Amino acid sequence: MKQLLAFILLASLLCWMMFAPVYKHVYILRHALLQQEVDYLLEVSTSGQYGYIPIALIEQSRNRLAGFGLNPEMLVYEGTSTLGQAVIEAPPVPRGEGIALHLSYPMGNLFAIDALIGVPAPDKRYITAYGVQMSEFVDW
Amino acid sequence: MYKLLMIPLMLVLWLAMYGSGMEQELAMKFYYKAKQAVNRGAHAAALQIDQVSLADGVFQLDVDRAKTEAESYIYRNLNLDQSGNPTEASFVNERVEIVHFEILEAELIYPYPYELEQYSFSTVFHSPAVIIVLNISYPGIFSNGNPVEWNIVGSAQLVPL
Repeated sequence: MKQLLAFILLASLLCWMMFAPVYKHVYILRHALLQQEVDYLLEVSTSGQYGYIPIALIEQSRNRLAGFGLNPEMLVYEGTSTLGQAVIEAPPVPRGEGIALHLSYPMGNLFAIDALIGVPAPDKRYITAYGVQMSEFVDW
Repeated sequence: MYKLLMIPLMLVLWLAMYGSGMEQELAMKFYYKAKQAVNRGAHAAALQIDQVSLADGVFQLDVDRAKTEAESYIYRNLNLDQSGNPTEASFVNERVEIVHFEILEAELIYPYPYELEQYSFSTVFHSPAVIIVLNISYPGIFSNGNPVEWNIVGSAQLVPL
């Protein structure tokens, strides 16, 4: 009986040991991917050519992230300017004002394995990336 | 029995290895985020043309506005509040400090070779520029009381319209 108990405890601990770091790595990587997309979208959209985030760029970004195994429908892009107006497929933000972009993706069950050894999952339900950059757009 | 003892010992070893690996990943992510913030701050500052001297045909940066905008963009990108203090949303839990803020005047002869020896940074600027150095430290999860600290240099130059 004692041996059986020791076996169950060790087995669950071993399972957690083997898989938990992988899930943590996936979490870190997903966050880095989202951040990379935010940086890219901001870099392009704040250029003098656009001043807003074209919907075509967001579609491309969804496809890129889908290539890394994320579900493209669950990605949420929220853009606002520092003036408070919409920036996704909207009138260009003038030079001097910023474009802010929030990108979020549900956490899913990435931390479910921690429940196995009694570590509570974090409260956050979304992986989010954020950035704000000043627009260079000038209306001629 | 000694065989069983091996498992907990190995567990400790593996956990330490995974921990330090994860710590490195997080530190790099933190660094890139801070670098982006500095770059965006410098970029915003480099967009602040001095309107008065522009009327005389001189492209020059407005020092006060450049500084305000640089601070505001760095703080916003790091999710800090207006005065640079950490908030609940920010991933930094200490005050960040702009240790160097410099604006190159329009009177210099461009291209201007610039060197900041203290932070081992050197480059050539082709127009009035902004140089920012931000001091930021990553506290770490497992390395208690032994944070990683960086002086992150960012610069941007004025691009005339």
